[in-house]
Amino acid sequence: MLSVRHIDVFYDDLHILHGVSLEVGKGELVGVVGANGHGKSTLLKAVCGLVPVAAGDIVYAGESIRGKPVSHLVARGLVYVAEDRRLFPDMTVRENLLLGAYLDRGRRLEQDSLKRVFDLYPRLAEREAQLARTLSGGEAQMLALGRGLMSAPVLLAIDEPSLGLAPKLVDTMLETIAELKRAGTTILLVEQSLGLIDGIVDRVYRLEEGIIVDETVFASAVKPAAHVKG
Amino acid sequence: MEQFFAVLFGGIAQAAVYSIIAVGLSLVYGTARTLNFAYGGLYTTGAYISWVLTVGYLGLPLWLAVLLLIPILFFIGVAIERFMLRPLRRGKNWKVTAMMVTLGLAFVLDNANLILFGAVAKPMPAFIDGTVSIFGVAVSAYRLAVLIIALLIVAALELFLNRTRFGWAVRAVAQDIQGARQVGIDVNRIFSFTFGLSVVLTGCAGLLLSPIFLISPQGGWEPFLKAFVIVVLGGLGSTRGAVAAAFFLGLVEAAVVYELGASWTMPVWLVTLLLVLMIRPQGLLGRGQTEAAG
Repeated sequence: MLSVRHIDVFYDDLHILHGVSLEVGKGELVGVVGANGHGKSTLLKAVCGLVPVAAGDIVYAGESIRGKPVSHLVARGLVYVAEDRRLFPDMTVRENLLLGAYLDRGRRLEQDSLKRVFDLYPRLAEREAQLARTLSGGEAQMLALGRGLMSAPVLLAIDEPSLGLAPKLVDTMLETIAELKRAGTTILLVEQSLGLIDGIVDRVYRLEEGIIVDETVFASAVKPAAHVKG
Repeated sequence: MEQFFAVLFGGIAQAAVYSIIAVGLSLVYGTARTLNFAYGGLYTTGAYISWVLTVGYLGLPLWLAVLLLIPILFFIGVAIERFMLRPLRRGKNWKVTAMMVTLGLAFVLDNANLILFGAVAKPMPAFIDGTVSIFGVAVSAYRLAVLIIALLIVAALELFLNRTRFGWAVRAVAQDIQGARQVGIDVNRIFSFTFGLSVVLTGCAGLLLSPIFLISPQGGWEPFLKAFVIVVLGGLGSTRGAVAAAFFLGLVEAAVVYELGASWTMPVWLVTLLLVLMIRPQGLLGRGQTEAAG
């Protein structure tokens, strides 16, 4: 499904990622953990086309996507959910969600997706007409994930969904992510600590100072064959 | 009293046109984060193109001239964004660089207009003559038409921004560029589009106001300055704020013209701006600028 091959990423002169490689098979929930500032978010943004990749290659669904515009990736179902949510503050919850279905891919399924998001988060349905800036942290995170789902993702790249949430809300959020995986969405999930996500992931990569130092496969993992064919 | 109403009405009609100019400036500032100093020069250019299409050379009827004018202006705007500003956006401090480039463009436009059309102001006939009576007060029919057209344009813009998918995308880019990219919006396309739209707005305003003010090479600086005051007063990037501020200042202007004379307009505008900003630094309807990284 997704194959990241020896990518290097820079921010200005800062070398953030050093030859990072990882694989995500169809239907897998793969985690990337590591401390802050070690390049987890950068890795996710590079995969999703939001920051340029200086060297190496990224293959998604059989296509080399390095340097492709984000709109092209979203149109093919590779969708990014940001740690800082990146909502449209002066638009309503509904408008935010419908903008998730901005491209044809999402638009075709718009009504179904909207129903799915509102079933998943009745809170968002209640606050449909409210401006996004008035939401609480937990609701904003629901909206960020909901907007991602509106794009009809095949592979959802989720950046630290627990950031700024109360512990109880973190559990609910992670449970939702596990549910999305069971419903067939492939997920690449970034978190700070393995302890948060070891119950739901199939495999975890540990990132330290821009290098993958370790890969752990969990018992519940899907068969390795699934992630070879990308 | 009758004279006061005539002045008041003139103020409102002009305010409506200023609101179009200001909304265009505000849209580009809000989405592309660029303060376009060439905006006044483009206003004048729009007026000169209209002049060439109608009474100046080609003698086309007004409706046909407008039909040609709009795509020409849009294309000019898109070309400026695409070829002059987009290449700058990769560099550091591009906002300052872009501002300087638009300032340079303003001088190029001013001088090109001066060379092409000469320093003597060109008269433009009003497209509608005569007066109409409103509440027993005779007002110029042309000014009434200008007011109605300007209000229709503002209403159309509001509809576009709030009711269409593409309009949502424009607002999304203004509110969070990275968020807009994440949902698959082609941000560069939005930049080009808003630039094109803003030039259409300022150029059409140039056409609308040319029978009132004549067309001269430097004539765009005052509308630009006024639009700038309106945009700052209304809150940077806020479309509705710009419209509200335009009408507020239009009324202030009418009162000033009536009591003190037209030359006091700009000083009073600027004092009003200072006073409002002392009380509400974010402008009348502004929310304070959120700095969204690209």
